[in-house]
Amino acid sequence: MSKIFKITITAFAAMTIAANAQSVIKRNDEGTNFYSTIEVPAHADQLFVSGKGPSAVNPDAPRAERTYGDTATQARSTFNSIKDAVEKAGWSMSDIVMVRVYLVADPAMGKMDFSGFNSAYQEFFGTEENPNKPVRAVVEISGLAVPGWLVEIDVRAARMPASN
Amino acid sequence: MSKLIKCVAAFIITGAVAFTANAQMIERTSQGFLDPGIVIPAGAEVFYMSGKGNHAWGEGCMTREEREAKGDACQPGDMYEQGKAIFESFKTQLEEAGWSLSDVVMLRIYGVPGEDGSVDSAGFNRAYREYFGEESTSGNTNLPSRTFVGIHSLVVPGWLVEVEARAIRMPK
Repeated sequence: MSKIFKITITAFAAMTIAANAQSVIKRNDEGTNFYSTIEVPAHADQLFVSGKGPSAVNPDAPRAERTYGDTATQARSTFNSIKDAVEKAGWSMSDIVMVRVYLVADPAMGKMDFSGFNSAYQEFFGTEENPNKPVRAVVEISGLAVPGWLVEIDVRAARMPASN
Repeated sequence: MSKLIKCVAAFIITGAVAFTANAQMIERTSQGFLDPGIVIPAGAEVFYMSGKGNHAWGEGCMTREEREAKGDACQPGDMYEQGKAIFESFKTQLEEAGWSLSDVVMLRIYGVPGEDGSVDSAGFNRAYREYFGEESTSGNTNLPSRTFVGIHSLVVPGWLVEVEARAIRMPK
């Protein structure tokens, strides 16, 4: 009897260990700003977040007169808004596995301000507070829904359910 | 003792049933040009990949510094060549991680107009067909769902296309 018990317990322990071994989000091929690939195992929780843009620099102005700042300012504002949404749902910036960025040409430069975007991005990913980085795609489009927006960002988060 | 054995046996059988129920398949159409809808059962695992352009610029043109120094001598290729390089890179990346091109369920394609002002979707699709579907020469006949959008430009000058891919499979 005690032998069967031991076998059962050993089998359980082995199963638990095996299950835990696969229950880790794996990030591969690290770059300066993002990973090439991220593997999310089965049974992960997922958080879908709507594309977000920046808040106005002058939010009290009438809608037509609102301004949003340059690309770096807009990206910082947008990531702060994403951070609020993610944390409100009980998640963390470190759970973000994918960032999709739509940039509109900076009127002063005539093209997208990629380095301005990156400077704000680097305040949120690969930092002391959040050492994690996502997979990422950045594209330049002609325009966004709100006049004056130069930035819209779409993120996805995944995490393993808390065990025990 | 026999009660305990019964108990253990019942547990094992229950476990086996639960396991069978979990071993569901991803439902694909895999006919035609793209899959209009892929059904992913619970318990699938997901492989996210960063957006990819053509990094295979050839000898002497691999780094940004080299490309800036050589100027026009470095070209990322036409839409077909860029598409092919991107899919080849996805294939390698997936296989290195123990996945396969046949696990890809979604492609999001961003095309940029070429010199003639139009997005060469036909050139891109020629590369696409070599990697997905019945005419594939890559060994993968599965089709992903996909979206193709024309955009203003991409991060690297000369890129005509960037592709995001997502792969999903049931745990082995």
